[in-house]
Amino acid sequence: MSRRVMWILAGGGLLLLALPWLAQAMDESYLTTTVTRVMILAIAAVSLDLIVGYGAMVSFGHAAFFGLGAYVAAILSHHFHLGDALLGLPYGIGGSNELLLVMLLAMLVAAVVAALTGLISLRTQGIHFIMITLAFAQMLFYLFVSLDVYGGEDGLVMSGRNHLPGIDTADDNQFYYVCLLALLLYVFLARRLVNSPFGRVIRGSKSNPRRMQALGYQTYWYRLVAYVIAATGAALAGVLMANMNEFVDPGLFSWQLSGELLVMVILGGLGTIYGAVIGASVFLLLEILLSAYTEHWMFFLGPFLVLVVIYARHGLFGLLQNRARRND
Amino acid sequence: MLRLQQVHAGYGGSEVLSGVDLLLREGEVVTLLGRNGMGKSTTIHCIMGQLACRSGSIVFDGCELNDLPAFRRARLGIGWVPEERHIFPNLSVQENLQVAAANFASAQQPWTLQRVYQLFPRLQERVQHAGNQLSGGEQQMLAIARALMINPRLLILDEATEGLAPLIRQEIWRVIEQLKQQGLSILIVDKHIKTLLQLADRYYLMEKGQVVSSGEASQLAQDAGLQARYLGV
Repeated sequence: MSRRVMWILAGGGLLLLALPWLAQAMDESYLTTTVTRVMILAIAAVSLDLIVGYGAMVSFGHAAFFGLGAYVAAILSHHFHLGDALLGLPYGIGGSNELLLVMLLAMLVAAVVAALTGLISLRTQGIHFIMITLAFAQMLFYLFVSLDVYGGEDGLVMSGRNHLPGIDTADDNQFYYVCLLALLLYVFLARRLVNSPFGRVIRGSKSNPRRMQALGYQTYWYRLVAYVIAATGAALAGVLMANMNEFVDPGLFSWQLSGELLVMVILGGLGTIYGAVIGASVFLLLEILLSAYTEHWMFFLGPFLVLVVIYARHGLFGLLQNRARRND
Repeated sequence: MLRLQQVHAGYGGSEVLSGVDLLLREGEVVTLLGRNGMGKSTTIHCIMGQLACRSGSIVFDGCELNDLPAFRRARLGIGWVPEERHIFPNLSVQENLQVAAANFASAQQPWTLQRVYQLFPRLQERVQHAGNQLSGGEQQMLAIARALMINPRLLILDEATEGLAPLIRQEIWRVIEQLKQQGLSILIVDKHIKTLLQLADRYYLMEKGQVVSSGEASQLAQDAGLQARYLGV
């Protein structure tokens, strides 16, 4: 990465750090919640980039894990405030309102579901993989639509955000920094992962899985682990989204959200990590700007995406890198 | 070390190998010769598990390979340099080598990054370059170096000098000669018959999916008739 791009990223980081103060100074406090939403979806987009950009596993059901994370947070909070056990079982596990524990449990649930669905879906490739991941996500969508005990189609309202020691998560500014920290940590860990020996196998398998097998790797299991890791990232984002909105509904599992996450990753640049963050930011920025003028904002986003795909094959981050290289 | 007995294989409805027999002893360099389309690469694909045998047996160090998936064959210590090189284009030179070494970290590791860089100094100059930024010759060097990083007991080279400039080709032959001196068992397929017959201990000549002649490489080097008949030399 060129020095210029690093400066731009560092500048972006500083801007994020100062944003709540700037928003308050400009009396535009909605900016804080808007950027919080961007950061949460950026975590989900980065997690998707891990498998799509680095492993060529084009999942069209990534929202399933996002929704699972959100529902785990909402369900645990629901039972915590009711003081009863999960699923009404007499000796069952009770709810929880501790954000860190909720995050851990949500990631665990997502990991188990991803392992089970991945065992099947990773036996396929290409269009079949896309369809099978979509099918699993739709199954979860309809499962939660039918779960009347947790609100069914109407969704489930949380009685306030989860608790984090030393932090007032109900305060939008403080919650903003929780999300910022989560994003920075996730991006750091994702970068470490793709450059690790494990990441090298995933990246190599993307271009030639048979060759990787001829080097002694059972690529199926590596891809499965990557799929599970990506799912836990989406679940983490889901927990934060549930906390931000204090509400969850089955729409969090929708194929539209899976598609939007894919668009974010492609827009920003596949296999770059930072690109997913940029893609999420630009996507949501365009959504906000365009939807102020028309409810058919997707109609205008489409041509923009087409232009990016044609003229910036490595996405917006690739465009940024190329310009920086030319200027250096 | 490696024994093929009556191996039959093919693609779809067509049979490419019709009962191939081959023997390679420890420390030997054996060459598989024949015109294009006679089954040399298909034989290698069968050994490496890239193509399932329809019948017959392939035994490596007493282990029946037909029962093993491709990744297990590599773990037995068979390094393969395929005709198409198959460098990972999105990994750097160093990563291409490290990814091969990582899987064999627990084994005794005579092949290190330093050692392969000594063998191919040109690769050391290109350590951080991505696989797709290398010339054909450099890619071939990397393909051989990567196969060595798994510490193979048997190295299989399929058209290792194909399409390379004469100077680079000489460099590759020099390295293969060096590996032979170090006692590595090698099965090699190549079109440069003259050089190959100087290097190899024994040969197998293939015609229409069968071995039609085998013996000492030095004998074939002197048999112009056999070469003309089966190799068009």
